[in-house]
Amino acid sequence: MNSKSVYKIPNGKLVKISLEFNSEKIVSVRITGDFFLHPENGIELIENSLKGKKLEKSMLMTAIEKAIAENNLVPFGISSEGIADAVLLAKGNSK
Amino acid sequence: MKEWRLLETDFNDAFTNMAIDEAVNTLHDETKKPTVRFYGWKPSAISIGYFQCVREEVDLERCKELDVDVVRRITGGGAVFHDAELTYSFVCSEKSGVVSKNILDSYKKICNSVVLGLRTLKIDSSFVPINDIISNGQKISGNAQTRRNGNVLQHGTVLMGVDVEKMFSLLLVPDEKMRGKMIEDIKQRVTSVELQLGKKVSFDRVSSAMKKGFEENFEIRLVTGKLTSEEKILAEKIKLERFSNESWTFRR
Repeated sequence: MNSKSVYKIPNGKLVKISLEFNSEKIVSVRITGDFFLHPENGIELIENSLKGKKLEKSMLMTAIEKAIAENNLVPFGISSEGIADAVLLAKGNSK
Repeated sequence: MKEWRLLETDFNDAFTNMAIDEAVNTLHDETKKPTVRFYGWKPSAISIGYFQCVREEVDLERCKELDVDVVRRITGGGAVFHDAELTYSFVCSEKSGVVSKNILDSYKKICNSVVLGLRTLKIDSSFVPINDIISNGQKISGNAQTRRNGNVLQHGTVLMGVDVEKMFSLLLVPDEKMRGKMIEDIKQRVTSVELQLGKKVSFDRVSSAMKKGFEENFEIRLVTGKLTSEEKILAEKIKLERFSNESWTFRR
């Protein structure tokens, strides 16, 4: 299934999610928006870290936090929780 | 007093403008003087942030009709309509110690040049994290930074005039029903040199004010220089291969 969301992260920027998923797992996710991430190509590392993950908040947050820590990414205006919430909102929008 | 290079490249198309910023950053190193550049956009242009989806943000048909360039930046942040504005860019090496390794601190430091420049024009303003400068509660400057090749590149706008209706005619909104309300909101939240002073101010006047702002802020002297031939050649290459290339514009 494919679905989208637009989510304003509290005290952060606007995140748009384009999500493809099967039953409860992510096939692929595209994260766009007006946030900052250093270095910029780290966004693909975060997107890839979510592939195959269960659509469950703590699982998503753990995967994102791991991608951030392992690659020394510095985000502004987005957070692991904000991205996870936006992804789950996209899932909810498919119903 | 230390001397830095000032580039006054006047008005260029969006692809050239973004290519010059990147070329200067790519060829910079700690043996070179930091560079401050002032420029404008001809034709008017929309730049979108590195992470934005161009099809979701920009009315591409409308931009074509009105001869407005659309370019994706190498910096994050939001869509900007570059019309009546002065844009600055700043490049230094991370090793130089000119700005903090901490990204937020460095935003504040570099943005303070714009705050001091605006003060020269008798406009009070202040930096608001992450990347805005506000005057009387309204945004007058947006800024975006990237760090590549061991260097800091920050570019930002100083709004000289603002046409919110035109800007919104070029941008898409998440919900069409909200368009009217969004336009009203943005009108409340954005200002310009012209609105603050109640009169138009020339590009050159704003440019010399910003020059003073950078000089005061970093306690340096800006000396007018030129792009090197190496920078020119690289900028031309980056323009062709990246900024005017649809695979870059449409990559997200």
